[in-house]
Amino acid sequence: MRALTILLLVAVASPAASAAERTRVSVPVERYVLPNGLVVILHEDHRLPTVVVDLLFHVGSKDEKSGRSGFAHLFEHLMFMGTKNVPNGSFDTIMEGAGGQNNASTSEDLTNYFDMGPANLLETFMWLEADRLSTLPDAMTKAKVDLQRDVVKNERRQGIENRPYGRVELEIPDKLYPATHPYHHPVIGSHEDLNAASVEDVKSFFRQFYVPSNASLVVSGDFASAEAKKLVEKYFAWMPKKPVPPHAAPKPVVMARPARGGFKDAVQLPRVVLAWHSPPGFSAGDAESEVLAAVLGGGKSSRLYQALVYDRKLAESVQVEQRPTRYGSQFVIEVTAQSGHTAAELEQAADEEVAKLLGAAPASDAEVERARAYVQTHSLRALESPVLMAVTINQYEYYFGDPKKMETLQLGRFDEVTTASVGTWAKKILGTPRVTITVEPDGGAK
Amino acid sequence: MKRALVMALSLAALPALAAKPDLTKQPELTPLASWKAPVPTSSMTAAGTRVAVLTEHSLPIVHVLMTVPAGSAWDPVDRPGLAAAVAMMLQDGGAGKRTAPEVAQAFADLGIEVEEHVDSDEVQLELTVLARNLDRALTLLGDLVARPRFEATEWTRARARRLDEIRRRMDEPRHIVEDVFDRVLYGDHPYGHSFLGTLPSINAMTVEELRSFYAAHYGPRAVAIALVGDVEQAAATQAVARALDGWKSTAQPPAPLPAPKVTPARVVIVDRPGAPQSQIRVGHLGRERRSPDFAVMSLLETVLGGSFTSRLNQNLREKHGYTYGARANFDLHQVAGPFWCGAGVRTDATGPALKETILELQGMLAPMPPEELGKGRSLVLQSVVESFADGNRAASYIADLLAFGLPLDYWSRLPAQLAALDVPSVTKAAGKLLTPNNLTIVVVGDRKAIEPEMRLLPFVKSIEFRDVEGKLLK
Repeated sequence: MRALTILLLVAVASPAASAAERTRVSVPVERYVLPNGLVVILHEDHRLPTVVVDLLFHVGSKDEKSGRSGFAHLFEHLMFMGTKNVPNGSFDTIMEGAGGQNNASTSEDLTNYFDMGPANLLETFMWLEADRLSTLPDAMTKAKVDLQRDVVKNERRQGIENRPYGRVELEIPDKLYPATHPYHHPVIGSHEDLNAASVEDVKSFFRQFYVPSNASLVVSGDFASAEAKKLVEKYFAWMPKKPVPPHAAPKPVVMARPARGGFKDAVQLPRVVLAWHSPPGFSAGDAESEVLAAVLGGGKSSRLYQALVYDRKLAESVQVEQRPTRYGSQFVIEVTAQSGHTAAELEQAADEEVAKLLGAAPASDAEVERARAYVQTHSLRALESPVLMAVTINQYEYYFGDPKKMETLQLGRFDEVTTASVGTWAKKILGTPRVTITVEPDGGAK
Repeated sequence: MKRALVMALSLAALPALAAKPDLTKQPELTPLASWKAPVPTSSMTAAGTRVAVLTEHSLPIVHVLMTVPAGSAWDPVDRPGLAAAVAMMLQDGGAGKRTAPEVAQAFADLGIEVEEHVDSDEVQLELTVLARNLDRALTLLGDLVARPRFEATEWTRARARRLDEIRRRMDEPRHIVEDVFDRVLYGDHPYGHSFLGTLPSINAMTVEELRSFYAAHYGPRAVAIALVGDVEQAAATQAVARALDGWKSTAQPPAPLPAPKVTPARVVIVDRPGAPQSQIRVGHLGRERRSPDFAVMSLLETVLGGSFTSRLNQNLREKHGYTYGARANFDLHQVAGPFWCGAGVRTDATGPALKETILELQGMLAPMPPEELGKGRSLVLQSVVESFADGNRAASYIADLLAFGLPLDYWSRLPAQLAALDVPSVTKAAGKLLTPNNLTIVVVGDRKAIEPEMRLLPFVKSIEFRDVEGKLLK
């Protein structure tokens, strides 16, 4: 625990402030672009003798071909299945053998790969990433695809099918976006489409999307920038320039009329989930959406907790989230019933609270202040984890092409939110048609 | 022509395209600088509350973690869930001069959420606060632990929610398997029941019972507090003393728990008709937190099921595709906690997955290849290093020392203990700590689909059927 590099220059939870007094965090970065288009961002942080390498590819489930839902995520799994130089299993064995670990995640928009470990693994991380980025397809086989297809299906079973209420996550995008929209299908994909994925699909997806011009590399931690630059040069600069692939960039959706969905599940308590379209991540209204979510559902002093759980004793729990994505986000309210109450009661009660918020009782100054403190504390705490720090830097690169924006926006964007702007965006978001999903007990559980 | 000139210059300035590196060669590792875990300081308030501090000034926040030795192991036999209900009611029953909603609002005004964690040994209250609000936060936290109101109307509300929490837990196969495993492994021992309790117990629980459990277990001598961040030891101790001022309780840390008895091998199915996955848990009694074998247990669990390349994950996931992930763990408590291996596996792979799990467990008794031992050592060490990057995790590492009476330089001594492990000592320890010939096996899954194949397994002599709470079905 030597010097921390995040310096909070102005205290959190300040009242609404002008741009000049926004809460800043100090995240020194150096950004440059290799001739082949790879964006490189270095962030030195000498607190601990560890290093993180985070490689972000601008491809997600929205970029999948029709009939191949779940492919971007399946591909993510295949990135770990070995090359000629680093045969299957060795990627992890080499890394873990020296105390390093890795993981990856796929979203609608992006696929993110990160390696973390002792600082002396920096070159090893770069070598392993450069190797798979340049040679993966040569060693791809049907057996590898089959194995990871099984693993991904197990991931779907574990995260969705065998999890109480899990299928809500399939219903929301299905009902919120029209069938032709790139966000219409879930990231995990369908069993049917996963079955259809072939080695040829893997190779063409790789050729199209896994090119330096479609990626950004964050190196964060205990290293000297001059050394890191040499390593980046050695392992990545030789890669030829390839065209930037086309990305699905859908227009925001306006729902003409409300939609409903639902199912029975092996649960004892009914649940209702309400989902609205909300502003894209980091666009106008996104910060207000985060604050609004905290006003409605952030902790035990929030509106919906007080009304539905505490006062009316209808709900066992509430959760409210702004789920940001690049081309239109989701604003989701989830309410689980106390026993003896129905999904219909919950829905009616939630509607009444939303109506109050949009009408007679808009969010007050005090509620917005509390919500701001809540959201800023969460945003600040995310930066304590070395991996999340690297991932967040890459997030700003993806949205702005400028990771320095993080310094003024990570906390500061919430300073500019006012009681009036929360009210305006509440009407814009919650005043439009929405998706309602109800989950009812199947009667089997006792 | 300025423009063309600039272009020509910049072209000239471009380095020639770098040569392709030799990707067949793995880079050599430079030696790693040695690292020592930071050692917190500690002092005692006049009232007897232990306060440990790890000072870190550059971020103006403080992580606070209070630990109370009042977990579910001290539930009365006829009131499972009492300890957790008391913990919940510290926040939800009103405290000091405030009603429950006022308590929630007072914390929210400071941007704080108090998280409460309950396990068999302890209750933890955890919060993160801006340094300038630390005194106010500690005063509020002091209200929760020293001046809780346990209002009857609030218990009525909270009870209804707790009952539903129990119902929800019984819907979750991954929780069912934990609870039933503990029930089967520990029987009537205090570790044998779910910390949330049962529906009848919570229904019968009175405010008086909450108050008397509180009076017996919560007091300035019983609680201890860890602070990490922008605060000094002296200021922290004074602030804690002020926050707990006037707390008269004489509650002491409780007497030691009885050691659990080893149970005979058993195979249990909890039926979930139509489940697409089976949750499996296989294991036996482990050790206590204060065991001198901590380092080797960390190594064994890491090699067996603590990372991606662990034996269980490689076998069940990467070799066979049965699961999304498999794990193994020694849960360490005041007395012997459970050692377990677990995974969610495809229903039609339940039998083979059990067989492979047990083979891997047996394999741990053979001498470990030195490079695998080295890997385990590096991973355990790195996980300690990384914990000190994150104030919350650092606070929990320090609270762990307070809760179990371990020395404050414990984490800084661990690297040497790990370095001392060699193949003979690990083999010897595995033989002592792992007993694959005497396993408790619990499977939560679709009985109709899994029972026939489980009956064919050589280690399955008979099968018990239990409900989601672990009660034996006839």
